[in-house]
Amino acid sequence: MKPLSPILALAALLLFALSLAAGPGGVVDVGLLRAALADASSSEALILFEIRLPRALLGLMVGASMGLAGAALQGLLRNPLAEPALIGVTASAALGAVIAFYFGFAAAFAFALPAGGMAGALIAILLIYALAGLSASIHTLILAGVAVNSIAAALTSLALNLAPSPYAAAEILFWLLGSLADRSMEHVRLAFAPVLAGLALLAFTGRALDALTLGEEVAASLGINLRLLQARIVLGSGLAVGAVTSVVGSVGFIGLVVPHLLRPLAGQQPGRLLLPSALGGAALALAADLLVRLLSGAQELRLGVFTALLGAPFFLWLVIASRREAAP
Amino acid sequence: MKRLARLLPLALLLLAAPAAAGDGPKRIVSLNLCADQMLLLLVEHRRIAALSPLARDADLSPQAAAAAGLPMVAADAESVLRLAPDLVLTGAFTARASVRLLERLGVPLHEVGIVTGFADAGAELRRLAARLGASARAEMLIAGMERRLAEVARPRRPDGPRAIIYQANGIAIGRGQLSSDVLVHAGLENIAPSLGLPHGGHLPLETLIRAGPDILILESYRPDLPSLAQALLRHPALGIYAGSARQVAISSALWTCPGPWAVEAVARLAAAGGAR
Repeated sequence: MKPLSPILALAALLLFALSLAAGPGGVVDVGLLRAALADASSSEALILFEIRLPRALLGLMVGASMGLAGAALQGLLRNPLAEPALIGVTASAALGAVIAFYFGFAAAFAFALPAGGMAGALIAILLIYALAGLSASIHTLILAGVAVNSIAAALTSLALNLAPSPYAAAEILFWLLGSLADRSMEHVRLAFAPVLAGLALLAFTGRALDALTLGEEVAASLGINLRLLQARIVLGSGLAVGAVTSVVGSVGFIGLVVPHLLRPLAGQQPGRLLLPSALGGAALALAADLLVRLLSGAQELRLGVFTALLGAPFFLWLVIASRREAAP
Repeated sequence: MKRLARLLPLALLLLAAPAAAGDGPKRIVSLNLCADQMLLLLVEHRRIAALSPLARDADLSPQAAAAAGLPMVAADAESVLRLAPDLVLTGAFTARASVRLLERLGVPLHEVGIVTGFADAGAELRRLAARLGASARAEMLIAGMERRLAEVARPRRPDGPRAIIYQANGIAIGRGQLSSDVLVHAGLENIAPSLGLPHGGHLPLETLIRAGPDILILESYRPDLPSLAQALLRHPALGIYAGSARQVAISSALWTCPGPWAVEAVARLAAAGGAR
């Protein structure tokens, strides 16, 4: 479908604008936008630029990162169930971030927070490689993912219980389900460079991934350096997913749902799926965050709840479909 | 048999109690922070067998220094029983299972009620003092507090300063708490009820800034320990809005439990409000 990327870009842009216009409870107040743009020192401007803008930007960043990383990992591992959250990368990033944040490293050195996330993410991806290998079956990959997810979640819970602050233990919901609420431009600044670097590394792997669908030997004969491709995708995913998870918590299923939904529209080539997945992921994350604001009552609903409500049934459907394929 | 033997000293103490009714209990254990404070105000230290661990926490306990020299006890039934108390003070939120167990074993208990303002602070103090045999002391304290409160309290003005207490995790304090009562006595208007939170609750940062309070009281426990709840109070938007002109720092210790320190909090807020 020719104009897929422009349409998705437009959708993402519209949702971004809507995200800036929406306040608590999902109330859209154009008056606030007008007042904010008229007077830069007004409290409306403060709200727009210091509260809503970081929220919308982080929505873009988390959606694009998860979507692109999901598409790239699915292409590399040639496995429809590969996505950062399912294979434990997101949970490990959260663990790294929790250790950096609650035990004082981030207080001493702000960049320690995304660094912790990236370290966690990279360790997880390397672990998955060690456990499942490059062309593992669906089952092996899922098992490896379950293992890494379990370890990461358990260690995260332990870390939060051991953390010195009395508020820490209750904050596990943020790290497990993610949230864009109450984020600041500081968070955007911390995650921006690694996310951009990660996306850049992932974005241009299209041709190599297309060649890979023909098999490793054929790809090599076409001049594709497989080691380099692996390194780029591992590093790119680790940087982007790790950094963004360290500031918004674990947001799952975007990397699973978006590439699958867009695959029939983008043709069956993994390379053509990369940009639409990034844009589609951004749009999905922003849409989910708008729902969060609309439906939250006294207790804030987490972003990950909506992506899970969409993604988990989708995941079940994928499992059933793959079993039907396997059984003739 | 062993159990009976363990309960014997308690039983003897209980039998002996009527004979010494005038003096009141001699081995008092407190499992609740506010009960700790009242106990320290009303009786001599030698009658206190143990206090709750929070009593030594300077961020929560206004008499932390006094409590430092006294023994501490965890709120489980076994630790409490080992002290052979003749009165155990509990609060509404002390672990229910432990309290019920102590009750079943016949340990004399007294539950300190939740204080919603200066009015029932006096009532709770009197009730506890009667149980402790320290009624005269309580009357002196209450009279002193009322005198000082009359000195420092300010009346509400229609154009008076609008204030809000904003805690970690973005919780705003509504009506019916000691802290909100301090606000009212200082002549400030608590804007939380007008923002749809008459009993307090989560207030989005945006809504807080749009409401534009004159006085912002940021309250959190141990702000030096990193947490997301704490980090919200350091959000740049709040920092820019509050600046230095609008923020007032009041330690949680001053209004978590009723006592003369809460009256000093009134004085401090009245001064801050008067300066606007």
